[in-house]
Amino acid sequence: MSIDRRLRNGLQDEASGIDPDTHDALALVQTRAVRETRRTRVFQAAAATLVAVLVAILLPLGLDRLGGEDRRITPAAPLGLEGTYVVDVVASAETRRAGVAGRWVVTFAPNGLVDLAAPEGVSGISGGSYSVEGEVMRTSSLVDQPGCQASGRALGTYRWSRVDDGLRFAVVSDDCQARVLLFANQDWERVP
Amino acid sequence: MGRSGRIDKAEEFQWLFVAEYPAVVRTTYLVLHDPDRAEEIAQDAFVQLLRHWDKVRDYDSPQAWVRRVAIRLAVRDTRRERTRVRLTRGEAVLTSAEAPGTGLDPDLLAAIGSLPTQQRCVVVLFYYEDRPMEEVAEIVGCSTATGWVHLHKARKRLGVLLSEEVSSDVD
Repeated sequence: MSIDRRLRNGLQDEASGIDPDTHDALALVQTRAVRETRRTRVFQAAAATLVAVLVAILLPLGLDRLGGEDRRITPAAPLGLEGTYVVDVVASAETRRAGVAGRWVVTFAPNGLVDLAAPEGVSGISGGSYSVEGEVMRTSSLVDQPGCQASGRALGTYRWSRVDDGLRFAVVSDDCQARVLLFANQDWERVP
Repeated sequence: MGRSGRIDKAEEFQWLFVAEYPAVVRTTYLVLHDPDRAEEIAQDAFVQLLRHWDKVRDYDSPQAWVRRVAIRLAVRDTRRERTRVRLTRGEAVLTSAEAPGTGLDPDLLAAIGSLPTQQRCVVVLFYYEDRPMEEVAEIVGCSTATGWVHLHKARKRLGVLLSEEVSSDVD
């Protein structure tokens, strides 16, 4: 008998003695998968909350200390954007990939903070802060999204205008693709 | 996706599980020679599969994906075991090499157990699962050429250990 045949036969014989209980194992695997997924979500939510809190607290301070005119956010002077808006980001390959497809509810608070209510199923979102100088708005929203965390991508700059009672944003500069798709891909409708 | 879509996905996973789980346990067992550990590792691999099911179900071969995970977990487990044995010195022989086989050819099984882990995985996937070398290499995580090198080295070593003549062509 050749070594190859001996290997095939020997391994088949050896494996034939193993007969696992598939039914019990399936139940075990399903339970564990649910538990591990839940654990991961809790961890991600905690991490996202921590990032959001840190961004809200540290970003304005840090930017002020940098002293650069272009990067400064002044939460005390939002000027004109305050209110709550609904943004419907149309589902496409690009918006799904960026994790922004769906209905968002965005609130620009008078204190310079942005609150984002994400579409169902989107988690780990941080609102961040914003400032307005004339028709230019700067924001750190979505800073914890993939591709938006590098130091040069923390802030996006947009030109804003009124459309009826809503808002329209046009990108001035922003390397964070998720933020561009949320802000500048469609008009924002004001919630009365 | 609606409720019916979720049920379809869950059923799809169950079908795959029922069809593949025993085979993955057996393959992992042949690499580790530890039936309990083989079951644990196979379950770990299927937990990962279920957690990534939305994505992996669209792959050409989710079966190959779960095997790749199981084999890599088994390789990691074997390396951890080797380190443990090296550190505890008193136990000179690896568990995998001394496990009592249920088969009819204990010399062969002991010889396979003495192979380096990558070679052992290639031997199991090639001879037991009867997979072409392209698939074996993909599962083990090497190039096809490297897979053949592993197989030829394994055959040569097994030939010496078992006092068998080894032809240059794989039968």
